[in-house]
Amino acid sequence: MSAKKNEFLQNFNRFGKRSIQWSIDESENEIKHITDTLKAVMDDVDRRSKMSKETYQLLGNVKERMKEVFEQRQVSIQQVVKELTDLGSDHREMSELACPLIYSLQFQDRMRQILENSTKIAAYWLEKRKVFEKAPLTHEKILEVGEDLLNLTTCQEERTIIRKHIKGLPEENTPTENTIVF
Amino acid sequence: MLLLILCEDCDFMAEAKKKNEQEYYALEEWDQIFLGITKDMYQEVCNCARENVLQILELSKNFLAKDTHKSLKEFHDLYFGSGNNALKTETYNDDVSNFVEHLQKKMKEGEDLSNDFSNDSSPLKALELSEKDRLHLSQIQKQMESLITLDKSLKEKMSPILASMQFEDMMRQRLEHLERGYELACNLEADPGADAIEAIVSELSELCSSQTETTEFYEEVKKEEPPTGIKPQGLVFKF
Repeated sequence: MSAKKNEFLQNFNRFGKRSIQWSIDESENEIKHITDTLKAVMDDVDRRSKMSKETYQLLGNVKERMKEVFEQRQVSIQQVVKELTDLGSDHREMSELACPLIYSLQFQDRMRQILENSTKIAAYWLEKRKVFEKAPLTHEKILEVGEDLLNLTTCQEERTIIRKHIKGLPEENTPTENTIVF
Repeated sequence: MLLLILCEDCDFMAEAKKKNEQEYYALEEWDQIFLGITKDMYQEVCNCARENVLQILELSKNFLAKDTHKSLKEFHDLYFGSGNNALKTETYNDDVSNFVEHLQKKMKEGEDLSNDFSNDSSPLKALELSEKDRLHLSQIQKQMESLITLDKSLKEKMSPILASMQFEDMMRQRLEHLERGYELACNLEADPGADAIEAIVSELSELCSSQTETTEFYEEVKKEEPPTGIKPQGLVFKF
């Protein structure tokens, strides 16, 4: 590969990394948007009048927990999702409100994970390009890099994508999700 | 003897050519694998962002008036539905401005706006009739802006929903630009001339749709001082 092409690929990949980082940073604000929407529900006079005191208090706790996630105070999205899932199953009135919150948090979390992992995959692609310039890409080699790519992922969706593009990789055995599926 | 040497030479050349082709094949194959995975991953990210907005919209049912919620939902469906980016430009025509003035006047006079959103002659209906002309989307955008500008309480309630939509749009644009860049990079010939690279850089530079993205592209790829005063393209709500 020519030095010019190599230089362009390296430069573009650096730009890609910054673009993805921008997306990750901005996606963190989504937790704030979800929290603010929950606040709007709680502040709405009509909606509040139809709510039991207990539900209102529980929502207040949820809002605080989500604030802690946003402010990155040692609380993970997974923890809050777990708490919300428990609340939703224990309190009938809560389940209606908990559901969109849980889904929203899970989508945000998955989005961030895939964005993060996509930069790892791009870096790995460039690194392996140098190797494959000098050695032929055999089927065994493809499976080997496929395994490496699987190890760079954290979501099942990503692994499904990799298996779609690299045939012959072993199937998923045990769930190793970083998100809670309910 | 000479013939033998020539034949040996032929074998050597053929072998070298084969090896060379194999190497190129290997690289091309690896590039295509990467490209396929990256495209699908970006698509999955966009799906997550869209689903996230839909869940926020679902939650907002609890406090938004039915018509306002319907307008927001329809706007989101139309804007993000078919993904025709070329039409997602910030273009407002006179009709839109007139419509906004009309809405603002009605709100100031304390009149009901529900008909402007729900009856048969509403801009939303017109939008459905001429869905191909996506410029009409800006009408809805203006409606949202006029609502959040005039009603402080509504502004507070709608801001996170609109901000989420705005983020979805901006991120999708960024990922589309990256996808195009990787596509062009992977399809570059092994030893491209300076012109070929320059053409790609120029195309990608044109795609940048915000000041931040342009600055990052100039710093990392173009290696030039970035221009200033770039206006964001796409979905822009003025809060």
